[in-house]
Amino acid sequence: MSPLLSIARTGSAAILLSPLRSTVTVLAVVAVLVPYLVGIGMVEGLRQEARIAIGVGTPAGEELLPDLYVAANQFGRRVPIPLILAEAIGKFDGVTRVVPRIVGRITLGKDNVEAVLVGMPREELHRQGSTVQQLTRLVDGELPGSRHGEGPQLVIGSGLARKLNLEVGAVLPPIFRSDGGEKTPRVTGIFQSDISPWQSRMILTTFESAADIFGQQELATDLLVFCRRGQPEAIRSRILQSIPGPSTERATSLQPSVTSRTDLESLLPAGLGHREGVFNLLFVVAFAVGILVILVTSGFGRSGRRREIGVLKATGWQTDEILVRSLSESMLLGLASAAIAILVALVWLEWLNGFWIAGIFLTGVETQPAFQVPYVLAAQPAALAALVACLLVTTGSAYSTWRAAVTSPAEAMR
Amino acid sequence: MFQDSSTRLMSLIAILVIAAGTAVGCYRQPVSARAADAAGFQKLVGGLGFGSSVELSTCAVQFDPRLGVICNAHTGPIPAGSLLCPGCGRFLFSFSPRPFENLTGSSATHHVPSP
Amino acid sequence: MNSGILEAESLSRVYHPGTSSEVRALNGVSLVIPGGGYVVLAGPSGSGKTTLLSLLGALDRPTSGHVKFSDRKLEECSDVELARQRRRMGFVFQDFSLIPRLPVWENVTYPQIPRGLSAVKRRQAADGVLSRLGLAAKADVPPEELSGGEKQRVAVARALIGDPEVIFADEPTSNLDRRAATELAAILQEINAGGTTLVVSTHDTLLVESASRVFTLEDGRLVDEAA
Repeated sequence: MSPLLSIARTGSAAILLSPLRSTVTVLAVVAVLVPYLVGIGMVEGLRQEARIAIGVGTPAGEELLPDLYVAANQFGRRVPIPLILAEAIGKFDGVTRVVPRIVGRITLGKDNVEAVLVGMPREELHRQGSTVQQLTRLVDGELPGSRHGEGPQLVIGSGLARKLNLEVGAVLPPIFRSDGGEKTPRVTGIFQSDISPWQSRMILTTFESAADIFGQQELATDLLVFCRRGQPEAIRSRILQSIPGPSTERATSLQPSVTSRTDLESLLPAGLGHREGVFNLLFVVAFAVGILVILVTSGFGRSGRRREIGVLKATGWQTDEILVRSLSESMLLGLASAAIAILVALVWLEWLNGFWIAGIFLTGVETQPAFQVPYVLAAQPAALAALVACLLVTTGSAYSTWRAAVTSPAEAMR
Repeated sequence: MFQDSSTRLMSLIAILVIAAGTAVGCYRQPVSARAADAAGFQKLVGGLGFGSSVELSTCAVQFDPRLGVICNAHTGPIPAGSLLCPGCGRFLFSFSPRPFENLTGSSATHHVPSP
Repeated sequence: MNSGILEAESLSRVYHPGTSSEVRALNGVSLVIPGGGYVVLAGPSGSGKTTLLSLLGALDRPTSGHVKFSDRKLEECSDVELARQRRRMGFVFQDFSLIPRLPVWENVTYPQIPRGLSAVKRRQAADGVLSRLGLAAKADVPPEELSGGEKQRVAVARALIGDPEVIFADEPTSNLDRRAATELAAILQEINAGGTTLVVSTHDTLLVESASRVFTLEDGRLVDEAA
């Protein structure tokens, strides 16, 4: 057997000779790495969901999502956009259709549970609904607007359903009066929990119902503009130049804001290169603390290890051989820690659905998320975790081992 | 016997590493089915949801930048991040202000009593 | 001076030089240890016996003077070369210095690991040496389960495993009862009879009586030499 391999094998023996120290070291590294891996897994999962949400990768010619989102500003603040602008934009060459949308904030129940109320025109809802292969995979129940003459029909998110204990068919108290009398909202459907994180607190209803609920007629929060292929940029320029126009009297003081798919794509963080958020700062701190913990644990039995190294040197071991032994021990501990951390992170994401950790990193999410947390645990962060684990363990023990290894045996054994 | 323990430990570590590698390489959420469902949902709502918030109370930008509101707390930088706002600060990722926007957001609130 | 396997010339060792806690442990000691000899370093506590033993055994470097091992000056050796020289030596320490929890046969053969010997070969070598010392049945037992005498015999086995030219023993019987001490003295005599040079630092009259040469130290100086 090669001497190097023989020495490297003593690394595993060294782990067994200091069981307490080895266990504490592994636990410290796992405690640092698991939240990091869970967080990074969620980042990548959310990123993929975000790509779907902006229609990246839509095959050419397929009109799945709007090409442009038009909103209005006034006095430097976001304001609703009049529906007459939808008509005006709809006449632009290259525009296939314009859909007004309402997205507003609403609270429900005695606990003021936050929800996002989305109103889409009935025709658009059913147009899009008819293109979905299996609607039951998205909604348990029916889309809003299926029954005419009734009060507001709502499809609510899985999080809201759980928090408010609502089922399909449940009735909410009347929330507004119209010329037709009190309107009682009814839950016609509940979003499936595994289709998107953003459905969790969402209420989807018809545009008309949303306008009635907010008491705002002839207004939308944004206009969804579908364009012919190759036209979005030209249409965007035309919108920015044309609006306000002389024909839109009420809108003369409005300033349009147009967001395209490219704008949104540019906001997507690129994998591990992203630097936004305190997430990374937290883990810089965590790693620093991890090194300190391991420095402390490497001090466990330090005098014993020093004597042991002295005896090794006295019996003919060279300094570099002792360092190889220590490196082997650190690498084995690091690899074991990383492997355990990866497996625990996977269990945490898949079977525990990001329990507690998801609630730390995502706003509006309960300790036990009401939706299936999207994640992708890719090879790159896993490999990085292994590298970090080995570095953590090696750094924590390197100095004390080196000091003992370069000292004379007599000094080390004193 | 100790030699056996030592060999067993190395075998265990090897098994753990292989298990972790296999899990990362082979285990996936059912991507294509989920992607189709997610795309279907997005079609219904016209494309909504983008960031690490599932509601609008703390920061609408972190729910979806298409809502067009910008948080004034984008005043960074701080080490490893760009936000000082505690509402956004804990997010996994967040967005830099778009250069053509310089607005604060307003969000409509409307209360619905409990059933 | 006649040359022997080990020579010391004007050896001095000063700890913490230039400070208020400066200690001159050894002061200008010169001696020759003949090959195959059984040499005892005697003297009261604090006389410099252990320090001299450490310098002769390349466990420490002198402040001044030199040590020659088979005509090679140890102070001219790099750390790597010193380690190689130590492989030609064996050491028995006062407190046994066995690695806890590690079975006896692994303790005995730990010095051989850097030489690339397989576990099987090492086990065979350990069994041979342990049998010679009456410890064959204890090969798989950790040191914590041994008596003092058995532990010291394991330490002797570790010193013997590499077939050394010289064995150094620092107060090898000080932690043993009389019976174990007598057994160890007999073992050391037997080893010396086989041609291995022995250098023992001790107060124990048993070992002094077995020696072919006794060097007496006092306050770090060589005060007497007797054959």
